[in-house]
Amino acid sequence: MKIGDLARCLALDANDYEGLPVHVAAFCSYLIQQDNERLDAHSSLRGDDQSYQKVAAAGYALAKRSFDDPVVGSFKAALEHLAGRTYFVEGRVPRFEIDSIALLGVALGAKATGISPAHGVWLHELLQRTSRMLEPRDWQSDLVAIAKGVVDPNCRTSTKDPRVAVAFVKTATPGEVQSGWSEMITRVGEDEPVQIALNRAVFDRCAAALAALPIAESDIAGLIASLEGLAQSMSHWTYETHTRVKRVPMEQWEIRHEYHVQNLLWTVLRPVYADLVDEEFLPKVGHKAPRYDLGVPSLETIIEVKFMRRAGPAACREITEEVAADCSLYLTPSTRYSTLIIFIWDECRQTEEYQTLKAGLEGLEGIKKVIILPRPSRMEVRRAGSRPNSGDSKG
Amino acid sequence: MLLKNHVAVQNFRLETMRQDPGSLVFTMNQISLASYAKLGGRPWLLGAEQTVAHELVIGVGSHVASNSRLGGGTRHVGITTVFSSDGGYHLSERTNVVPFDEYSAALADTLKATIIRVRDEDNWKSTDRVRLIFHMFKPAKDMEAEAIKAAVERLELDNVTYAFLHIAPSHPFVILDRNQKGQPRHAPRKGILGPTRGVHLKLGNYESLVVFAGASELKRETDGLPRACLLKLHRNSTFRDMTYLTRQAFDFTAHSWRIMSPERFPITIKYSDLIAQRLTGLKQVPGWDDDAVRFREIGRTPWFL
Repeated sequence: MKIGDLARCLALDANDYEGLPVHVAAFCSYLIQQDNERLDAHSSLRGDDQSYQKVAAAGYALAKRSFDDPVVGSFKAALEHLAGRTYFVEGRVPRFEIDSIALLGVALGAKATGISPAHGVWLHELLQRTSRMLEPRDWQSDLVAIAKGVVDPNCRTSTKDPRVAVAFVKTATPGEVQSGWSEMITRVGEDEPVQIALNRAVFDRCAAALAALPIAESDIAGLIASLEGLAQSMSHWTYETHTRVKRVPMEQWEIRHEYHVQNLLWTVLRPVYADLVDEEFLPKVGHKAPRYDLGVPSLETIIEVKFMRRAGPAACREITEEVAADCSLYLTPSTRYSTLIIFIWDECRQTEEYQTLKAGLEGLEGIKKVIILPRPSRMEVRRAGSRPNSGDSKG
Repeated sequence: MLLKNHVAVQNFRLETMRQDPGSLVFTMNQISLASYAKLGGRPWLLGAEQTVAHELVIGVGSHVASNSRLGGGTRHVGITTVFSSDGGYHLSERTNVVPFDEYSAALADTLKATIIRVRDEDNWKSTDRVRLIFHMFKPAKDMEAEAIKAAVERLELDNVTYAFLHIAPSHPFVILDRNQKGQPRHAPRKGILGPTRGVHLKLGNYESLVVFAGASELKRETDGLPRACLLKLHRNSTFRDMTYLTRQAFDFTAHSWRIMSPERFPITIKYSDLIAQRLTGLKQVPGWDDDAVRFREIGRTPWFL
């Protein structure tokens, strides 16, 4: 299913809204971004009928955007009235007290309009009783848990249905968002308006998160930009020259060989490129089984890491020969890769050779970019011969 | 004995249980529905379109108990109250049954007690609009209407309207439907020329005819022609929307927890009749104590269904 089709699946039209109780309609409008404007119709609480359903609907409206004083005042008066009622009366059918959608609407509205301590206590106690009555493992009890978190920020909110957390908890962790997305995908076919609204809330949040990611990062230009950016970001590489925290010895994260550089790149790229792989063997070429350093299959790109220890043209020649050999082995038709990026860690910082080296390597077929990262000057301690050995640095 | 000891009772006749399975299933449905309600369950609620803040509907029904075939029995009056709250009509746990002579005072007492309790539970404001509707088995007397108003005035409610509605099954009108060929389509047919449930004829500002049970609701072809019910509004009523009142009375016929199908009268009247009938019957049981259902836990359930 395309993402556009998914978005169309997770929408409610005017007919869907028509048959819904007023607070359920407000709940759906609150969750579905494109229907937020519908909430305006629920904000006003005038007339005799100030049923809990209407108060809850107003709560959703007030939680989404600010209104003028009379609207806020009418909600506060209605809240005062609700707080003065008796709930869980024996022999009477419970309504508001077990209506999780209404309770959440009232809680959101109360928070948006500045809930008084007395009303906070009342609502919290009511929600406690409700959560004891409701089946603890369904989405309705999840809404009550969210309402408790709204009223009391110190209350730890945990939900069984991850969609509820994604829809209402701004601080939901990436893991929770991922679970919410998975749950949403499994329940896409449900036609209950409340379920559609919950699904849509998850969709909207995830879509917004996707939009926040720089698009350039996901293509080869973005990959190159990330690797080139390392020269600047190495300024924060841990390489202490004195103790920064009392009783904690200073630390120097040394880069000693090619595998350290590979680990550095893996750390930088893996969060962005989910399909990043390392040290994979390619199909044999004669007797040779080539193994590349890092690869991004979705971009058909291999990142080959080189560690240049020695200075001078001879070292550059050696690197050039190695890269040419790698290039011919890696980019054969039998592999799924078509592009090579060369990343060179230069221990000697021989910047005067870079232009020639890069021009030579980038002239080879298949090589998209050569990036040379000279050892940062702040990692000079080693050169001065005063760098503590590994045992010292950790001790 | 069981009722007296707070045990809900559902009785049925041995002959009923001997029905063939095809018929028995319908009876079992009714038994299970009533049993569920008596055990504290709430099978369903009737939705209320709240055009005022609060509405109470008080039903007054009656039953004549007689030890002789030649008449001369004693009439007892049962009282049932339904109130609107949170978009639904709730059956009040306050029921009452009294001899006919005492019903006026009992009605006022029950009404006051219910208002005080619901006002407290629902946190009424004194300025809230309140509507009191009385469904009565007989026409209200002017004196009775005034007595009720006086009792309510003492409760300091600023904005109260009243409707005293006589629900009269006996009247001189007959509604015929020429297009009604009878139900079902094959013989034997029942309810030929009878009106359909829901037909409403407004006879004036104070009178309406409404069919609570039509041709489809008849059980047998020998049941005759379904009759409409006449609703007559007392002239001292201050709420006079007959369409609203008729529709509400009609809706209340579908609110029964006694049978799956609609009742022949609104539950406000039907339940009151049943309460009066059951209690007058129980009074004849040696050792029966009215207080068992009036004040104790079992009285809070629809024990009379």
